[in-house]
Amino acid sequence: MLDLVIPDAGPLITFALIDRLDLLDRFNCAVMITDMVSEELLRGPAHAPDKAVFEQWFARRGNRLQTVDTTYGDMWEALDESARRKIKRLHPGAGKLSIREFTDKVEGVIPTTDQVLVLFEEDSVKRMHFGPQLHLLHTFALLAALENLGVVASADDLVDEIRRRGRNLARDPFERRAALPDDSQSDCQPHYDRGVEETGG
Amino acid sequence: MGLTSPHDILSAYSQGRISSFEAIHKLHLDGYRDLLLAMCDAGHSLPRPSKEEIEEQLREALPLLRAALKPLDAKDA
Repeated sequence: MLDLVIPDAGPLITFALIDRLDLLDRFNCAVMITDMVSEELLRGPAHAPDKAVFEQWFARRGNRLQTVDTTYGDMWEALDESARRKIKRLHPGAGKLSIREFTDKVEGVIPTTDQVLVLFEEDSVKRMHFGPQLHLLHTFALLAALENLGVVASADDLVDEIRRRGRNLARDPFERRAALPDDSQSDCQPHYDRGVEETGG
Repeated sequence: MGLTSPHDILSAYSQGRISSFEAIHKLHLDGYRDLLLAMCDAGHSLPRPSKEEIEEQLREALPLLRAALKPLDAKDA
């Protein structure tokens, strides 16, 4: 059996940016992520379009998506927003620690008969050990594989689409209001949170 | 490393000289999503492995992905 292990949020955010998480569903495999990746994907206000995209994908995958709890993730969940900001400021490498713990757990959870693809974008993942049956796969390599398998017409077109979506910030449905320290409302863009239908945008 | 401007930081990330965690921290961003958008918005290329590295990854992953590929009309189990 094939397992797809995703230790950093990069690949999922990239595919979601162009609304192509469905490409990961084309393969008969379990997907494994860390609780910190899950948190990064699902945080944000309830009305954020990207949050809905991920929630739908999580629901669609059901038990074929496994979230692995980490010590760092458990502690993160217990912190309030100001404490999280402080931790992020003081410990920028904490995300790497979460990935390291994830790699240790994954190695113990996956049957030795399974083959594992580690889908990643964070470069430090290359220097981590996931077990003997792993195969690293960067998002760009997966895009090339999808083209090779005839799942998509052109990997380069998808890369162009990612760049295009990233540049179109004003029209991007993934854009969110920046969080203020005291969770109060920003007054710089009073119509920012209006829905697409409401603004006609 | 003397990364003083957002351009320096995004360039360093683009060239693989710093990690995404470091870039997010230095730019005071909220997470990877914001870094990806900042990279695209500023016109930086996203960091990518070398051609040789991608070919090596493809060589190992393609047979596995081909075996796991579902037919187009397949329903999820």
